Amino acid sequence: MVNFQINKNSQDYTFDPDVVLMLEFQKGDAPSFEKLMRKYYPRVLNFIYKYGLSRQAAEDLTQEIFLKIHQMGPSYRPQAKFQTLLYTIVRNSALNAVRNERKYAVSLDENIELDDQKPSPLKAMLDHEKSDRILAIINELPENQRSAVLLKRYEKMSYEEIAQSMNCSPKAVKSLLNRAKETLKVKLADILK
Amino acid sequence: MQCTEIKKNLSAYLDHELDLKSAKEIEAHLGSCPGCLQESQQMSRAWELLESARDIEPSPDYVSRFWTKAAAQESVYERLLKGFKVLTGNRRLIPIATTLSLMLIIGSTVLVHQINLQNGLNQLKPDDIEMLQHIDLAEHFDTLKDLGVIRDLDSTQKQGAI
Repeated sequence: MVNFQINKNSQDYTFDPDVVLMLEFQKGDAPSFEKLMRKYYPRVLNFIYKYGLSRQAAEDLTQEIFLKIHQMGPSYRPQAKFQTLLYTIVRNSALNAVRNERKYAVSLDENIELDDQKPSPLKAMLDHEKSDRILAIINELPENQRSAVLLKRYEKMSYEEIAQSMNCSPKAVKSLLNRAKETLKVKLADILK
Repeated sequence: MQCTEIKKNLSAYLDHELDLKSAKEIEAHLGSCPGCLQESQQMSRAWELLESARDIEPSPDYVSRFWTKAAAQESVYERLLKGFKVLTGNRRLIPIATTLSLMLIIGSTVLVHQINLQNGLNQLKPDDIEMLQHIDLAEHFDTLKDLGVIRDLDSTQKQGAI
């Protein structure tokens, strides 16, 4: 039985609609799983991409993660919000994968397509470069700070939820984010100007 | 609150993760400390700038690819279980499902028994096998000997008859 022991108290998480979908899937309702996947797949993909994997590797890993959750169906026990469980798996998987594929995501497999028909192709190019620079700076953060930043900034998780996903205390999350933001403030200064 | 203490809590303040009392203290400090106020604004702008990191779109067929892989991953057991559930879900098919299940159980039991028996026989020596084949004679050896049906094996061997 898969048991992440995220919440040692036996709390009822059926207030979470995602937990309800997962329980419906456990009873055999495949469309419930697909709803969960459609909701989270793009977000998970982008978390992993921003974490530092290439587009293709991020796509492959996202598929693997959802296959893993799909297999968990029969033994699933709601011990936390579904999003917390999901990002525990996502973060651990991304961490392992990026250690094997340590290359910056965008520059190697993305070409800027300038469409003369669209307004301001130059602006599009500049925006693209700015995005690349930001992703590179996020990539330079230590792994724990990077995880905390991605979960807070893009997934809008609370310190408590981030702590559960990262298996640390909310105080540790506060410290990680404070240090990360200090670094981001310095490194993004030239873009901010 | 001192500036050093303010800076430690600035991120949490901007994230609305502080208790009301601490948040009000920081707010009051920022209102009177230009240095900390500037820090706060720079941190806030850098944080907002992260929104400019563009997202990528998943491949259009990601759902169908997923279900193809999920189906391939299903174990033989899971497929049998699904099939069984389909059969038992339809009342008309319950007798068929029950009969098939019983045949499967009985067949498996017989097959396992045969395999074990054969494995056991394979471990026996030829003399043991011959003895088993004539087990009925062995069980009544004494009686048959008294009746003179079976001669003393020793004397028979000496005569080269066996």
